[in-house]
Amino acid sequence: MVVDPSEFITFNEWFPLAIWSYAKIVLLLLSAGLGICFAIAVVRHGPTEAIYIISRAVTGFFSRDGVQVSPRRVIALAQLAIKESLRRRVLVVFGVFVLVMLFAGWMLDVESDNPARLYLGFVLTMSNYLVLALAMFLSAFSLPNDIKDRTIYTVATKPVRPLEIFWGRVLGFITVGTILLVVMGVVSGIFVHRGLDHRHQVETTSADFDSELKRHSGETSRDAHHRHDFFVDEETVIGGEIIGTTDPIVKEHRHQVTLKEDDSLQIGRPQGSLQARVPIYGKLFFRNREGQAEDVGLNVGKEWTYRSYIEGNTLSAAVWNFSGVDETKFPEGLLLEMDIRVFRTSKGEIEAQIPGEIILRNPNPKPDADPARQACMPIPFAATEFAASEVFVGLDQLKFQDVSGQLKPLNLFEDLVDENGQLEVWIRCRERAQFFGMAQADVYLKAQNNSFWMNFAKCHLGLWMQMVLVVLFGVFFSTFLTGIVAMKATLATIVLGMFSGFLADVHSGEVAGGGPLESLFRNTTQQGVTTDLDVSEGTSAVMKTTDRVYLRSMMLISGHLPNYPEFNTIRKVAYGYDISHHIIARHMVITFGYFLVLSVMGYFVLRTREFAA
Amino acid sequence: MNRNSPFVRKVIYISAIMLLLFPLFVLGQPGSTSSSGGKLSRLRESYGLSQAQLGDIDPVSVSMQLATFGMRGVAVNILWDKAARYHKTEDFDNLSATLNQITKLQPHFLKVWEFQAHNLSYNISSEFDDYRQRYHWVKRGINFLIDGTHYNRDQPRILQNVGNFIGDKIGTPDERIQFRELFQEDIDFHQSLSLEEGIDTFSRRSLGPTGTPDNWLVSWQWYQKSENAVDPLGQRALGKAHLLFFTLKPKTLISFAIAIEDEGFLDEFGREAYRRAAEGWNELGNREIQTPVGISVRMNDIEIHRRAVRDYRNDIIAMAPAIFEEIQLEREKQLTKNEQEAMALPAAMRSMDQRRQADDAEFKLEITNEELIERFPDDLKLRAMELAAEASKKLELAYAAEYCRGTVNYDYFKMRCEVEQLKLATDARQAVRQADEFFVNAELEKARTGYERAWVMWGEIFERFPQLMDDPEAEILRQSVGNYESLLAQVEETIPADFKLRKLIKMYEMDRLPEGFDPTGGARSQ
Repeated sequence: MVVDPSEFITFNEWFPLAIWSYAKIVLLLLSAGLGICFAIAVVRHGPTEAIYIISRAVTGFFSRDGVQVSPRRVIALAQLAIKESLRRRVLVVFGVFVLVMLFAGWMLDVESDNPARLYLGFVLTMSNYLVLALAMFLSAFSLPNDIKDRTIYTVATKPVRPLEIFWGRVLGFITVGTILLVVMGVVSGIFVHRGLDHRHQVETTSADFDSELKRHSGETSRDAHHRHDFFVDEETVIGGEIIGTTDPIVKEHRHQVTLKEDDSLQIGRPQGSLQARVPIYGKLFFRNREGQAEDVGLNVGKEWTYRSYIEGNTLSAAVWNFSGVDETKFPEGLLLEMDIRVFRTSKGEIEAQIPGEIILRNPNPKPDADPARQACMPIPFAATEFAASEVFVGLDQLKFQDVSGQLKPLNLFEDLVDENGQLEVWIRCRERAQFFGMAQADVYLKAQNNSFWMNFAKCHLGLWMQMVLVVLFGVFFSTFLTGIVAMKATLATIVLGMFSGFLADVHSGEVAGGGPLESLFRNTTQQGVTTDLDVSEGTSAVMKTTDRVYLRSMMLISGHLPNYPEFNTIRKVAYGYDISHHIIARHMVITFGYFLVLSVMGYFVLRTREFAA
Repeated sequence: MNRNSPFVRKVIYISAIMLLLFPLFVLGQPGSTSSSGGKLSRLRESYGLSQAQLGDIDPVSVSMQLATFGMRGVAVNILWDKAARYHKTEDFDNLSATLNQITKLQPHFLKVWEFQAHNLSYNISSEFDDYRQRYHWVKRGINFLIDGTHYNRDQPRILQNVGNFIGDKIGTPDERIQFRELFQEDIDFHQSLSLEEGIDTFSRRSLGPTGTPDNWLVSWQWYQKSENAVDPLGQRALGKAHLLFFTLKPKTLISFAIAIEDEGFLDEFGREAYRRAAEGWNELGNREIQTPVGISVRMNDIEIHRRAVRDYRNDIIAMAPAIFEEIQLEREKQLTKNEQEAMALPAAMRSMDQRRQADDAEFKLEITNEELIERFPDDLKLRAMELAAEASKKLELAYAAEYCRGTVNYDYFKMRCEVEQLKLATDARQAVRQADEFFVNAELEKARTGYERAWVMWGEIFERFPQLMDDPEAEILRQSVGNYESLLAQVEETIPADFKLRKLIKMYEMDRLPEGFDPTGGARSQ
């Protein structure tokens, strides 16, 4: 799975940097908010009165409104918002969701190699879009409609503080969204579970028994567009039953095969398609063919530079430095999961996989340590691509060669892991003129498997936080804009937040074709994106400069808006990786940060409006 | 304005709407069992453009097309861009899912099916290192294309592409041995082809010598399907390359025969495969092919056309033989002394310079029909001109047939099919193969005996089919002749003077092998 480098940063590393940026954003937004409020007040009441209103609002916030919020009133207002949402037929969204689910089977590729990825990706993305759309429509139209219908006076004439109005709305819409998200989550879970569940029978014509090995083998029936090979060794008894398995992994799962007392074989439910692996990532650097350290490896000519390559049968190596390796996490040995790409410069043995080797090495050996004991003897493996393959390095597998050439055992935690719990894992390609490709996330230590359904819930937490952010922005914009404009403004924050990466790519030239003006010109004049513009230098310069200014301002705005894709952990769930608590903590802090800022800004805007005065 | 004006306005609007609806009804009335419908419906019917005529109607596809509210072109562009991005980032599951969405939106756009099927089978499959995964993606491309045939019924091009993928993509790459084996063992695929596509995968005509379906023979059935889909009215365009279109089917039988011989079936199986290939090739020769210049010709008719040209020529000369001789004498007088000397020598004895002079002389001596007719008396001229025109037509046909034969290497494959049906040929190959094995295993005495037995047989073959010397067959033996030479060198001997294939050695010494030359004659091009 492709992992964004920012995910390797822990919460503790991220927080100090983030809090500083946050302080700057807060200052900027508060200034902008106050400025806007002041401007509105000036237009309505004149400058002197405006200063008075703003000052009264600021002092009022700190002395009264900001600190004397009544939870009872907030809940009462939230209930109103919920009732209003129900009145506005919010359940239609759920209806759309159910309708899409009903027909999803028609649109999904039932023969996909990784149905779990496809199903999960589909249902979670659908939930995400629907909940965001719901949050946007509910939050943006609510207050403006109340103001338009004058129903706001039934609230504003009561002793209700502006912050309570803001939070009441926000809480109400979040409650509606949360309930909907929970129901969607349950429906999605059932859909995925049902979609992936299937049973096979033993294909009787293929069943075979090897009396020498005492092994039953054969093929399963073809169900759900696939079949498996299986084997059961009569000597493998687990829990009093003779257990075998299907092999190799097909469509990301296996089945347990049980030999019954009446000699019949029973094939169990699929296992492994829904999982939440907990990876421990290391820091990656490379050694070139002379053995010198490099930040990146070779480029074999691929346009996508996410992975770097090492050359076979040279001193080239990819080195991962893992931290926190101790006996409590890995009592029996290290479980490495790898997805190594292969690039052949010659055909070689077509049927043979390219061999590689793993070397575990102490990154900071003690000065008096025996040099021979600082690295283990190479552990061979064969590269497999596009799927995480496991290599277990047992504690008794680790050997070193002493001066007499004899192989002697090594102790992983005493000899190879340094005092800070760090360990280096070297990977080399052993075949000449062939290459291995890798990125930082392609090799990791697998600590354990967490509950898939807990991971599924964590992913929904990410969706929930996105929904909260949209509600916050929607309600905030609705405090001073009309419904449709507030909706558009909220949509703009979503779009800018979603496509901030794209904006940066267009600005940097990574995405060819130029900014809006240039691409419009190219489109209308049918000029390719990579050719030079067929206009005079002056026109081209004007076009490019205008685009640059526009893109810079867009980037400036989007830089201060929530980066929605960052909250999107759908890929992790779909690919079977646990969502780390570092990521969740980071997202929660960001959401809370926006909550504080938008609440304060919303308060000031409401404070300056007539109905609240 | 009085109080009735809104009512009047409404009446006017409704009348206008009714009025406009009338031409719309005339144009767009759908057809039914009893009526052919409006103009649009009739046009759709006559051009075969209605959904039901084009292919299966898929409710998902139709729903998606409607759901995009006429913006499906934009949607497809976005999806295409997305697919390219997934390809670049090696996210092949999502790529595959995106391709499904594209084809649901644009099910009748043949190029989309062809391009993306090629993408799956050729480009994406090669991203994988494991040959089984490569095969799996080749098959995904084939299945994708087969899906396309459901939406685009009876489109020869797409049906032919399926045949091409099953034949060439499985039967010709580096990993063809593994791919062919995987195909032969792929019972689920055979069953789906048989049950869902009506391909006769389990009958004798699809089974190879191992008794399992062979990719070349299955591809032959898809080619047959594509030929059946060519409608006589030519509405389903084959493009300009009619010849290449019709060549693929018989060529696949030759490829099958070559493949099984390579796999060691140098017995009746191999000979039978060549017999069948020869029939197919001959059938191609008898098929009327439209050439790019618009002439239709049968490749096997080349001799008939040439003979006709000669006959017309003789008839013209016979009308006034004295005039012909007179012109001939005049031309002979025009030759220089050197040219006359060169012409007097037998061709084999001419030097390079003399060859050039002889060529010049022949050019000077050539008397065209037009030159001859010009001297004819007026009463003969008209008839002679008619004969010359007929001769010219036949000459054009002969050239067209020759062009076609040259394009598909017709003569070589015809002769090869003929030769390979002989027991002598399979025995000769078997002998060389065995001798090579002995040589590799250092069993020199057995290798020598084997080679010498093989050379006798090959000598006989080259004697009967001397043209083979200039064809790739000769090249195939190069390695084995080399082995024989080094074998003899090990016992301090050289190739004997009476070596049957001495001519081959001379040819190898001259090393006439042009750059990029494929010794299989393109039969196994990668």
